[in-house]
Amino acid sequence: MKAVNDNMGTPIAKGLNVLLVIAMVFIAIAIIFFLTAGLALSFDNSFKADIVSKLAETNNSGLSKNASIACFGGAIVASLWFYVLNILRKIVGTLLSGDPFIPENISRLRKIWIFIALSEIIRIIFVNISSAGEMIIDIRAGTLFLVFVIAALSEVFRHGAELRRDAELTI
Amino acid sequence: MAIRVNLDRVLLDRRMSLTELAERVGITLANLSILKTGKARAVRFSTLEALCRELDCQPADILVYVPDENTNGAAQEAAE
Repeated sequence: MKAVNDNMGTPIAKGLNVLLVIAMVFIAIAIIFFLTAGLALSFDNSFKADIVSKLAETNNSGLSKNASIACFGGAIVASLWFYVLNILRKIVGTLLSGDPFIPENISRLRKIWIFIALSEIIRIIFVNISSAGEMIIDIRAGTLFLVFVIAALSEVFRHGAELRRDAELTI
Repeated sequence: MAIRVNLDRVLLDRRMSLTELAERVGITLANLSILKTGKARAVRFSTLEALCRELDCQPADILVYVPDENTNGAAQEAAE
C-alpha cells in the first residue's frame, strides 16, 4: 500500500529505533542475569549463602527467603518488557517506512498497554510471593499512567488509520 | 454502501474502455477500478466533473442511490 506521506522518518524516529535496539540488548542481558541468578539461588551453594546474608543485612528479610522466586519473577517481567520493546520497534519501523497508520499498528499499541499492565501485575504478584507472608502493595502510579496514555493513544491511532483509509479511498 | 456506481453501463453506451476513461479523466486505472467496484468511500467533485465531461452525462447517470434495508428503516422512523 503506497504511503500517503513519502517522508521516510524523522531523525527522532531513526534515533528512537537505535535506542530501542540498545534497550532490547540491555533487557536481554537482564533476562539472562535474572534466570542465571534464579537458577543459582534455587540450589544450596556458597553464592546463595552470600546473597541471602547480604539481603538480610538490608532488612529485606522477605526477599532473602525467596530470592530465587524474585529472580524468576524479574525474568518474566523483563521478558514482557522485551516483547513490548520489540512491538514498539515494529511500530517505529512502519514510521521509518513512511506509513504508520496501518491496522497492524492499532493492535500493536493495544498489545503494548496490555502487556505493560500485565508486567506490573506479575511484578506485584512475585514481590508478594517472594516476601513470604508480608503483604506488599506497591502500585506504581507512573506505570498506571503510562497504561492509560497508551490505551488512549491506541484509540487515537485507530481513528487516524480510519481517516487514512478514507483519504485513500477518496477518488 | 447505498450509493451504486453505474460506470459499467455508461462506459458500454459510450463504447469506451476503463483504461481510456482513466487517461482522459487523469486518475489511475486502480483508482477508477475502486470507484467502479463500489469500494470508494468518497468522490471529489473535481473527479465527478471530469467523469461527466468525458462521458457526456449527468452525475445521476453514474451515481444511483439504492437504499438498503437498514437505511430504509431509519428513514421511515425519522419520517414518523
